[in-house]
Amino acid sequence: MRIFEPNRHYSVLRNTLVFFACIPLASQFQFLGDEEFPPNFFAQLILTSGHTALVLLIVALAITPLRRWLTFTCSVLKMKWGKRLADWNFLIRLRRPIGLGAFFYMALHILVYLYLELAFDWGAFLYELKHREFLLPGVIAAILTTVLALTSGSYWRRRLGRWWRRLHRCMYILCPLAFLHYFLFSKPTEWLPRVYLCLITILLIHRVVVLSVKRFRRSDDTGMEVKRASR
Amino acid sequence: MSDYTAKQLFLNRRQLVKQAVALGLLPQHVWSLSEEKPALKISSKSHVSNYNNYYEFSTNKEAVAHLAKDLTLEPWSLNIYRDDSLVSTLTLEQVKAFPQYERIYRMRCVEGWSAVIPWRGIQLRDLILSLDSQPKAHYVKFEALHRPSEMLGQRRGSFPWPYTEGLRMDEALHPLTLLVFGMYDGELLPQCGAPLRLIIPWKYGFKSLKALTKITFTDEQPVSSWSQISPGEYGFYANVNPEVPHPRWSQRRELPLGEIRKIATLPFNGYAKEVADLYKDLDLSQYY
Repeated sequence: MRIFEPNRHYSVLRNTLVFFACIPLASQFQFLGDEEFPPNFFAQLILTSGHTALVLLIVALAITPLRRWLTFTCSVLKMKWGKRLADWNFLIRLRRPIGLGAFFYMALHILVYLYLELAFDWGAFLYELKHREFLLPGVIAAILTTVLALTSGSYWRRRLGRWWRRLHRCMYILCPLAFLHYFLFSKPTEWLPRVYLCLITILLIHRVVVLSVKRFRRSDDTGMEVKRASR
Repeated sequence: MSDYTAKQLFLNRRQLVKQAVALGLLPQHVWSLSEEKPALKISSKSHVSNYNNYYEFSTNKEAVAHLAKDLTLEPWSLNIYRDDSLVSTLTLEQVKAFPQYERIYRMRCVEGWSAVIPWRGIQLRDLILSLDSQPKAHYVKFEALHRPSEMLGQRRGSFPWPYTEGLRMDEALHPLTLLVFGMYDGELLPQCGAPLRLIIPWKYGFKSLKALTKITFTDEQPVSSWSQISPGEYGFYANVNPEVPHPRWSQRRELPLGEIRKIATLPFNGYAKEVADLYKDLDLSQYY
């Protein structure tokens, strides 16, 4: 009946996601059509890569709450499809490519910093780490992101068992750390950091509420795919 | 191109000094290689005129050139005050009547990028010393144009307009300090501070105020706009100093516009020999 079944046509969704995730990177190379090299390609590259990584992390953090809110909305609207958590399984599956995208942009961000800014001078890096308070949260977030990206495959998921989910709950620390890194770097007159702060706060509060308020607790809302249809 | 030779000489001056040292004409210790860059490579004019920090128009550096192009530049007058009383009013023509200089200066933005720009202007020193009753003040305060009808960014309430900056009198009297009305063999462009701006090459770019309309001689240390907003980040002196750690980004390196990799930043932006004496009694890590 339904022409597009998101859970069945998952790969279409994933490819669309990959396409859109490539746009921030591709748009950095617009200058190839111009006569001149951009005035500050370095800043362009390091700001865009870091910013995109942060946005993707926030999107990944939004998946579980989003599924819950969509399920709720659909059942209030008495819709045929969308009332069950399982209907939104594809969102959970999209979370991995989203997280990997964040990892990719973060790797680019770090590479640009270490190569174009520091020319791989590790002494200079240690100096920076000591003097720039925004760096430490960034470094911790980067280590965590790398661990999560490396263990994101199904092999590690099986191998780690229930520890996999515990490990990947690092997102709740990682996201605020990445934000802190961004916030400490941004100028006092900027407003975008405040928007991200609100988003992350809402997404984390959702977890606290779902855990602590009995009415909102649902044993099947584990942040993983739901096997059988449930309401 | 009457000034071509002068420029060439200026560009080669380090080479000349090096040769002089090699020939034994100059004592070795005068020439300290460690704080000098190899050569000045003039930045592309299109970069300098399309990548501007000019909050009066926009916080977007690429937007400034478009927003500033219709700024009314005439009539323009420079009002000079001693505290609250008007001392003198100069037209642009009167300013330009002072001996003019062509100088190629490094410009280092506090955000970590830099440019090398040929300016044309007069020494602020000549103007101050010409005033009838030489104002014996400790400080000079500079104020920029406040015209929200044309300067879109000034309609935002978040910045204390007009843009204000200040110098100690000896800094203002230093021969490197210029009042500039020309760049790259042409007029100063609106997005770069036309018709008249300040250039202090050894300080971070935000000290070099654009669209200058008012100079006040005062004994009280002026509070600049940026140190009003964020005193921890922007001090009164704002001398380029790679060793004073900035909370948010490194001041040890800078990106020359149009380049892909960063280079080392020099103390006093490479003008230490000329200006370090001004600050010999000052703890620069405290007075940044």
